[in-house]
Amino acid sequence: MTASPFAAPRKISEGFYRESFKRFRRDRVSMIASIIFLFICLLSISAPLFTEFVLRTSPNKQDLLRDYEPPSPQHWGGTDGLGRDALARVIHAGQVSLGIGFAVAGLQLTIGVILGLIAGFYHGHVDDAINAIILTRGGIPTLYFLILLSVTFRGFVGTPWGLAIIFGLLGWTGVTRQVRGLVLSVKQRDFVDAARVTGARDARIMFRHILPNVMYIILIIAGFDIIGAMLGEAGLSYLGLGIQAPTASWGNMLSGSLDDFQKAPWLVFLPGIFISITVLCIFLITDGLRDAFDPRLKE
Amino acid sequence: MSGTSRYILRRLIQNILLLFVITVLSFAFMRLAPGGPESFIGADDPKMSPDLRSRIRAEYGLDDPIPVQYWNWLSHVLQGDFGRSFIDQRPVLDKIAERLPATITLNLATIFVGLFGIPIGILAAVKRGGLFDRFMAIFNSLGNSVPHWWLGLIILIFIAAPTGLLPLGGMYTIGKENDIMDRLWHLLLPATIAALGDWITLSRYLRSSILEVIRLDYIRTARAKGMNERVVLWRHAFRNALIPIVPFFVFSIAGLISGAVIYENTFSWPGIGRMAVQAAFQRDYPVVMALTIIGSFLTITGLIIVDIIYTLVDPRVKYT
Repeated sequence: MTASPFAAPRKISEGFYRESFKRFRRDRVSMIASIIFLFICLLSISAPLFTEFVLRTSPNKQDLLRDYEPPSPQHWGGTDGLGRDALARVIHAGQVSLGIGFAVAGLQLTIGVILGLIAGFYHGHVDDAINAIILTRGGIPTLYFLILLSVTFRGFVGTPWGLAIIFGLLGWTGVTRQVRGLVLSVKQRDFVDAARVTGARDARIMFRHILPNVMYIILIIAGFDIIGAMLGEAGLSYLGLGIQAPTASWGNMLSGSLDDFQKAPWLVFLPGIFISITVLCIFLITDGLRDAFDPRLKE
Repeated sequence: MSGTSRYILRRLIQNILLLFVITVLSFAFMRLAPGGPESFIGADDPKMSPDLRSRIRAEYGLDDPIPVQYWNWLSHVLQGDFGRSFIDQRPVLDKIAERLPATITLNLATIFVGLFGIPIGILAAVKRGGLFDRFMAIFNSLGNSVPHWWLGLIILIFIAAPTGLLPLGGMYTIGKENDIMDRLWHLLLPATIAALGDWITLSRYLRSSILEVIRLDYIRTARAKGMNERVVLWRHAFRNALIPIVPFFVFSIAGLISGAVIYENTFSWPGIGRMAVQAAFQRDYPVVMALTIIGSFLTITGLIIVDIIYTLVDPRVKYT
């Protein structure tokens, strides 16, 4: 096929996302954070292999004769009150904590983006109805809501999936608000009218024309959603109301470590360090993405 | 009626409806619980004689139709009667009132310590890009990533416990209940740790809001007419920059009661937050429900107050 004489000259722009990603890659802090974050994710995903072949132990193997051992060549992270290898447990707990982070963000974004698109696009009564739900949700303090739910549905909230679903159902309102605001401004633009003139249906306009134009902001919201979910899981499990034993999460390892902090202070350190580093990496990546997508923000 | 007062009236009506919906929701949750309400009071025990069970059911009104039960419950709640705790049979409101001073003390202290975020934000904005600004940027990203209660634990375990410099928890040393210095000493660490989030939020809000205001025309006018830079900053920029942080204070006050659940648990502070977590463990439903409803009431009241204050503080905001 020969090039059409009307084809736009390619060199001028490589497209918004590609150029933004290039800017992102040039930012050293974001790249380092991405690499560390990827490393933590890989470590968690391959937790069974890693503990089997590198640490040569398993997260639930008890050795009651060797409890509260400080970190040593055999047990890099020491052992807990049941003689279980702390590092093996922290890495397995990473699956739960990171998994919850991603699952919650996915759920919140799905609900939040769809409702936000609908509310902003149709305005009117649908918007009012969605707004009423958001107001109701916002009127109940989150932590007390969570406590109420964990009393009512203890078995459900105590599992990783259950907790992720509860967090997702409670937290989408912020996403909806932001997406709605963006849609209200984007739908005034000419290309939306153009799409309508060509006979596109509402759903097509929403998902094919408006959504790509607000996608970069959704990406940034996603980062903060993951952070919020991970810190929320840690806090709730630390209070003893989140993930229940024997499943290990970074939060409930911390609450478990408190009974014996004098004998084994490293048990308090290890999960907290993992939470902090992971959240910091996501925070820096999100920040880097924001700068890359909107260079004006950097001033 | 002016536009503003009509707006406020509409918001009030909206929020009363909202509170009503929240009471329905929390009542529904109790019904939805696996095992039903009987499981909370132990009436689901299969070994219990049918006679006793029916007596308990009658006593708690469980045989009435659900809407009747809801109405009975609501009319009591509206009179401030949240029922009795399942655990010790004491009126829920008494239990809450007993814990209230501890929680309010901690939260007031937290707000006070949090105010230090204001000078930090101003300094970072005035010397933008300077050493302090960059240091605070790093401090903020770290502070956003480390769970503050974990930081509190680390300080307790690695600094307070070995050195004895700070108390390990509680409100006072036993035997020194009336010593004000001893109480302040116990407040120091919990309030500082709980205020970390406020520091970060306040200083960041204020920094960006000052940077935004300082670009505006009226600041240039003030400078152009030869005004002292300090007057420009404090009399002109600072006052307008404060508007975005108004909600922060209103919510701090709304959160006086529900604020510090996690910190109360970290520092063994005998407040409402600890009671809430305990009640959750014991499935003490009346307590959990009372706290949820009171907390919602305060949050919603806070939202209305934010609206009203906005119209008062910022004459540019007009509602129709």
